Amino acid sequence: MTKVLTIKDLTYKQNRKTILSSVALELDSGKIVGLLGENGAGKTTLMRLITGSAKGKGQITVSGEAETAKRKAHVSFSEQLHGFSTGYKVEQVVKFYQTVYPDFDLSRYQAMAEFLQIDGTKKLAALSKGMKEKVVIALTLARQTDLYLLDEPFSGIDSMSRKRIISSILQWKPDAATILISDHYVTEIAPILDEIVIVKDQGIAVHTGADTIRDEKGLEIEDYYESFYAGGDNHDEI
Amino acid sequence: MTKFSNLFKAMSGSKFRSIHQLMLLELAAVVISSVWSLVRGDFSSATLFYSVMGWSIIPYLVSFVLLSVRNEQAFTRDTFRLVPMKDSVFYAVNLLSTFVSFLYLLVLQAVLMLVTALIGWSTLSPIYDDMQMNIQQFSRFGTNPVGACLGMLAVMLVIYLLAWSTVSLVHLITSAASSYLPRARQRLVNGIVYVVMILLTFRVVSFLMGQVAWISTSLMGNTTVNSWWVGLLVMVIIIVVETVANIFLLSKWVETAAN
Amino acid sequence: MKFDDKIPIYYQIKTYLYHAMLTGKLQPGAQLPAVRQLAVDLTVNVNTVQRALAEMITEGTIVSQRGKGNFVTEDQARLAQLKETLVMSQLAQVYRQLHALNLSDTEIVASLQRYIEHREGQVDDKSIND
Repeated sequence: MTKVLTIKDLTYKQNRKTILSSVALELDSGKIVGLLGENGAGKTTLMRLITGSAKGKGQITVSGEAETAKRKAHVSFSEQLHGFSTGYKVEQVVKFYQTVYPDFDLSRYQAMAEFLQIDGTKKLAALSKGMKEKVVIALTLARQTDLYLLDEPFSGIDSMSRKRIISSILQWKPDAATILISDHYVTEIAPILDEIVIVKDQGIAVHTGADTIRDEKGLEIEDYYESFYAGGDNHDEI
Repeated sequence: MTKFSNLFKAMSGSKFRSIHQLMLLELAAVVISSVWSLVRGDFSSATLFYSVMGWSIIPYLVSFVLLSVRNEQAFTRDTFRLVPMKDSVFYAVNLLSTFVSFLYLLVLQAVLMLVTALIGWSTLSPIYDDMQMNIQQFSRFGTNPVGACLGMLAVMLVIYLLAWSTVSLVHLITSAASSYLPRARQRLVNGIVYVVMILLTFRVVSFLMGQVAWISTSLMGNTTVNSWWVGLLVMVIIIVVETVANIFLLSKWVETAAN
Repeated sequence: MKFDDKIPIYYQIKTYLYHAMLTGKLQPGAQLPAVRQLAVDLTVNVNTVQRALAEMITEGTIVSQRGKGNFVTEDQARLAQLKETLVMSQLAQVYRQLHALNLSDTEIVASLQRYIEHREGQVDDKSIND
């Protein structure tokens, strides 16, 4: 299986405070991977380092490309559209994406927009939180690329929207692509994950298969995840 | 990788939109002040032209600020920075789209002035003839007033480019420093950078103002033709140095605002 | 579909499909939905569905036809065997739990018998009381 992402010895400091220290991570292509960790553990930072939005020390390769500009062509990040004035209509944002990203597939976007019931004539300012997240997801997944980074796509979103978003992820994920989804609440996405990565103490505390946890430990992903924060794995035997 | 032309199209689109909004505001101001003079009873065919002349200073100033803000925002927004392209190319697209938007404003202003001047031509033509006479009397360069105007325009555009590059430099230095230093010291550094850059800019600007004054006299006075090119050259060199510094900061240190 | 997050998802998908096959929702020879469709319907990962199906193909409960998709086996003996396996595994669980309560084999059989009769009786009692 080919590696879509390779991170070696990645260190990141902000304001003289170490956020991530000598991180190493490899992701195979074709997976859905949960990126778990407390708020402030560095999940978003890790994603921003992969896209090149944050600058750290170390080596990051996406689909074999290490150079930032080329790497960006292989990564689609759930960017929150802060670059647009709030008077912008959704369809204008779509037009921007279509112009700027050569890998943007309009028919894919339209199919997702229909499924997620997105109204293109609405202005960004008029979108509810759930609707805005749907727009962000549709735009992010409409690019045909190798690595998708979805940063907390479910925070503050009602359960119906959540289900729709999860379904659209399953339906429109290209077979060979890998999706990294960050979340600090894992239960709702646990069934769709192939693997989980837990960020803790400035590094990757664990990277393992989701069914491996269920198979070998007989644990729920949520419990397993929480055991890392309870100060030790004491659920092994009952 | 994204093509230069595609990002240029996308980025200038929103900047053009701002220019259109400004033009609408100006037109509204012109209409309102013209209606006011109609009410007062001193409306003539040239009123629109005078009104445009009076108001046009505002779009020039506001567009400079507005375009600066847009220009700087693009450096720290993922919306633009995630686009797969080299930092140097991105910088060029951003600045060029800002610059072209400003040129677009100039063209629109010129058209507006021309149209209103034509409307009021009967009133304005004697004044224009007077001006022609004056220029020809007082200027030894008068054989080519168009050339003088173009020269002034070139100087003005270079000054704008210099101003935008300088604003970017200040912004990118503070932005790069903000992720490096501890929060407490960050304010201090920002303060120092602002003060230093403001002082420096003042010095440069006053120097340039002197240059421009001198250039215009030498343009009109036709003394040493080559010397005003020197002033222009100095500015261009500063722009180039700042551009290199900006691109370096952009690719090495400047991070985007958090998602 | 709701999953028990303690049990591997691929295993639960298999159980779900077995039930569909044994209750007649999926007839012998019927075509299974496409992998991605199954994933979306069950809200699970495509790879997990693939793993479940791969195991089922190996054990012969479903048959893969290249380019066409997956079909429930028409081998009645295999289906009967599947049913037997499922019944046995359910019984094994019950047996283990009862055995843990120190019941002998005869007691277990007797209690099962009693349970079935009593259960029917209970239903009757309830309907009378209502």
